[in-house]
Amino acid sequence: MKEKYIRNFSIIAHIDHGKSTLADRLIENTGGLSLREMKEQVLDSLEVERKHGITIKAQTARLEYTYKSEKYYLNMIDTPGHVDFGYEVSKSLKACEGCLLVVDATQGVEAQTIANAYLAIDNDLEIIPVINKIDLPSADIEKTKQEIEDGLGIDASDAIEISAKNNINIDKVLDSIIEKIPPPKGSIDKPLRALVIDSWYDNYRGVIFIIRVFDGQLKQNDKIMMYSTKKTYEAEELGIFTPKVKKVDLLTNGSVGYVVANIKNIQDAMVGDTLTLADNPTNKPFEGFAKPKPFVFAGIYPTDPENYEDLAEALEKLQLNDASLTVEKEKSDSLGFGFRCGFLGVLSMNITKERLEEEFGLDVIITNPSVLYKVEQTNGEIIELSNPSKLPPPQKIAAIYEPFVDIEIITPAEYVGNILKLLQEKRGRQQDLSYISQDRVLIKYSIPLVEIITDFYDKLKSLSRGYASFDYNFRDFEKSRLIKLIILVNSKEIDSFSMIVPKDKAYRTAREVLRNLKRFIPKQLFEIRLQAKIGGKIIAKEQISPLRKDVLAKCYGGDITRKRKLLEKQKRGKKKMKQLGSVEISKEAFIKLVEINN
Amino acid sequence: MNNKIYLYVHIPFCYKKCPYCAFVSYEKRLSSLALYIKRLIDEIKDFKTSKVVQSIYFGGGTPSTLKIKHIESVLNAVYSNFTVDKNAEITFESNPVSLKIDYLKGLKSLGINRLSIGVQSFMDSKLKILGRLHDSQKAFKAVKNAQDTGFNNISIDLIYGLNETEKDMEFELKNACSLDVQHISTYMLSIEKGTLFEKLFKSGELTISNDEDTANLYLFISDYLKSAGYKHYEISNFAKGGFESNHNSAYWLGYDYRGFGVSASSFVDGIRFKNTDSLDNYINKKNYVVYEKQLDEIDKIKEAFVLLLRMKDGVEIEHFNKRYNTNIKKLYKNELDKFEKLDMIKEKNGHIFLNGAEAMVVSNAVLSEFI
Ligand SMILES: Nc1nc2c(ncn2[C@@H]2O[C@H](COP(=O)(O)OP(=O)(O)OP(=O)(O)O)[C@@H](O)[C@H]2O)c(=O)[nH]1
Ligand code: SF4
Ligand SMILES: [Mg+2]
Repeated sequence: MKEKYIRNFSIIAHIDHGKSTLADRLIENTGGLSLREMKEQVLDSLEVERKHGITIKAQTARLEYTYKSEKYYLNMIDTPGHVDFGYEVSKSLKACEGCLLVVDATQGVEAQTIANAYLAIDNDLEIIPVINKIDLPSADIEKTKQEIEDGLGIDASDAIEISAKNNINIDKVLDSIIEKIPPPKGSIDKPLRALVIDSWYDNYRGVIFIIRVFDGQLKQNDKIMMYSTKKTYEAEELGIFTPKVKKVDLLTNGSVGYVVANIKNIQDAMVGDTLTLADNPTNKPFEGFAKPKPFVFAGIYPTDPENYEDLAEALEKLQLNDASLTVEKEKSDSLGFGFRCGFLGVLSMNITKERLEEEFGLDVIITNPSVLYKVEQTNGEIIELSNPSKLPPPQKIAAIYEPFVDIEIITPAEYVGNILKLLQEKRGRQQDLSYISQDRVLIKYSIPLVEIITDFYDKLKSLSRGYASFDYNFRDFEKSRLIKLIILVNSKEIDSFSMIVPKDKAYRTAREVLRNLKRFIPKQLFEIRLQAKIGGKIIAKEQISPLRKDVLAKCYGGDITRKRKLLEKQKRGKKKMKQLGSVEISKEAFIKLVEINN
Repeated sequence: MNNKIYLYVHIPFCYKKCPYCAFVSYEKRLSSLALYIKRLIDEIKDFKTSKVVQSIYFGGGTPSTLKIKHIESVLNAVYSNFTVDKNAEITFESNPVSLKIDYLKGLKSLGINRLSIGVQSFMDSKLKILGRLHDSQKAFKAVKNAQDTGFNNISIDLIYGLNETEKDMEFELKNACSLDVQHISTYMLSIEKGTLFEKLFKSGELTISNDEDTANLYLFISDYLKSAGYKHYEISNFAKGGFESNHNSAYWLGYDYRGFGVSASSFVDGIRFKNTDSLDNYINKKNYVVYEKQLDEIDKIKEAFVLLLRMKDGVEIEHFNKRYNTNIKKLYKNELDKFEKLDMIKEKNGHIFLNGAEAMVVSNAVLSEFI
């Protein structure tokens, strides 16, 4: 396959601007799948993706397209738009020479449009602007073009105006991919040099990984070597996704495909590694990807302690698929043995939980998400921790540093007032405020990370009727006045409920947390006392009075079955509970501790 | 192994549907009564057993919508088809408005020896809200008529949970006791799906007692009736010594029972089934029986245990272990420990039982851990 007939491109955009729908049309228009095989966002194959209607994992597909009577092979990567999955975008871009930057004409340029466009520019990619959803009455094509030019500095004069949904101008997109995106460089005569861009674990076949070949070629049964470990394997099966799986015997320079090589150990096939031939290795390995740093941390525990090993194994498999996921063993007095996990954000945390439940059939408890703190002790030593219960006693703490992020919010001008107020409440510091078009404002703040991980997104959306979007980047650790808030249930400290909170907000938070907790603890056969403590002092209290009435005092003749079903239902309800000492607490409480409804 | 059986006959007709009622009963369908009786008799005749009938229970709906001749034909079918113990308890549920002397005489002559009367309340204002056809005077009269006719095993039903004060409840119970009946069933009002009460409750037009008050009323009733000489022998039932309902106890004790008619449930030789809730399907004999999943051994044990715990005397350990070939204290070690600590369950003289009315009023929270 000659390089000049190959194009490698990604589709990037802000969340929901229509990447996966455009991918559908590209597949359909090039005959990758028959109409019968087609479904909406066909590349979103994970159960969690279909359920939420968002893309989480980048997906590849090779399309065949005839342009001026010549056949071309287009390797497409559909990427996620949500800020939590930015890493998927950046590694996908590493495998491409160009990208389609999709912008929703009804929304204009949004925060991840900017973030992802800059990633593409950083990688020297050819960017083809595509304006989508022109079928909608509220589409404003001119304004969108203006925003692309003003906000991104990209020439939008020949942006392609499409409707992915209604299949308008998709042929122009295909032509433009061939005309504008350069074919892959590299040489087929050089030693094999391929980049691992994705990998996952298949229960039957071991590790499967996706590579992009940058030099040379890979044949079936070749002896391959992973550059970082120097371990060698046999390439048992090669193939591509069309998006259907199709076996091939050869992956040549410039192509994208999968490799199965009977690798059982997940650590031996890390994304970003260089794959080469054992006999004739390259001497130009890739730099590898900077491992994405997790921002949000939480404990994951098996509800039933007996499932600890299963959880360990499941997390290990998910890690292969999600490079940002970090896992460390942890023990809690209240929840037993489990793991401290790091995630890119709360969405990816929730997705991880769902995948554990759905793909591995596990029942888990996730604790209240927190961030990584640096604690300077009085003896000068600095420790890092994300689990609030591990905070040293106050007399040993000289200072606590918390992560700050630079946050960029793009919003219609009319909501600026409300948003600034929210940012202020969240302990933010204004950095900049500028207009990116006549009525759209870019707000820059620095703000403690912890303030934006839970309810910030929802608040921002509701304050701006869904129009504001945000992106953030780690800034630095800063010293803050923070203290540990301890929660007691019937006088017993529940370590997994501990929190690190700003001193000035401690009272308010304590009251809110207890009120919130009350919703998650059903009445029980005895009174339950909830207390919040800082230092040695109780600062808030709540109580849950004992259950008074719970009886079937009715005569349903011989319908015993109905009675039994009622009790069984009640019993199933208990499964949603975690027993802490004698008190039953809804499992949700752990994660929703600070999710304050008002 | 077990040579006894208990029969139930469901009469799904009512003069007027009560606004709180979710039982399977039909109003304005009395024209189907004669045909229904025919089908009932068919169903009775189709069932063969050599077990000896211990009790017959006419429940509803409102069995007193039946004419004496209907009842007679049903009972004749029973007598000609089964062996009936000569001391069998034969109960008839009735609406106070139906209990005229003549009717009662008819019942008595058919061998009916236990009457259950749907008094519900002695407060006229409450009876109105409950949508009942009778007032308190009719209720008194009905009981008096029954006693005059020679019935000496009478049960009355009472409902509570409609914002009664303790004084109100005392009034109800004083009247109930003044009647000198042998058995009293007390039901907590609950808002059932699909009823008029549900609508009114949701729209705010109807309020009912909150859990706290209802629980207090429950405890009050238990205390009151106990000191009046009634035994609190099941969660919602009270009886003078020796007058516990055999029939109802059969359900809790896990004996075989066979229900005839619309919506009736049966449990025969370990198999459970239930007739259709639809009057028309029943009358037209359209696949009207639904068999339920056979319980496996352990579930049978659990169910029997839970049902027994509804009774004051609870589970007789040795007897239970023998009957179900199990070791109940081992099976439920954790649960028993937990609830004994919480004072909800007690073990004494070889019995495991709920620890009095305080435990009964929260019994679902306890029982649901044993099922
Ligand atoms: N009207 C209209 N709706 C569209 C068009 N393209 C996509 N949509 C809709 O926009 C929504 C989001 O589309 P997706 O293709 O899932 O968006 P995405 O960019 O892949 O989203 P993420 O992967 O979560 O970032 C879906 O409801 C689509 O049906 C279009 O051209 N016109
Ligand atoms: S009389 Fe009894 S069965 Fe009939 S509607 Fe009223 S409560 Fe229901
Ligand atoms: Mg998508």
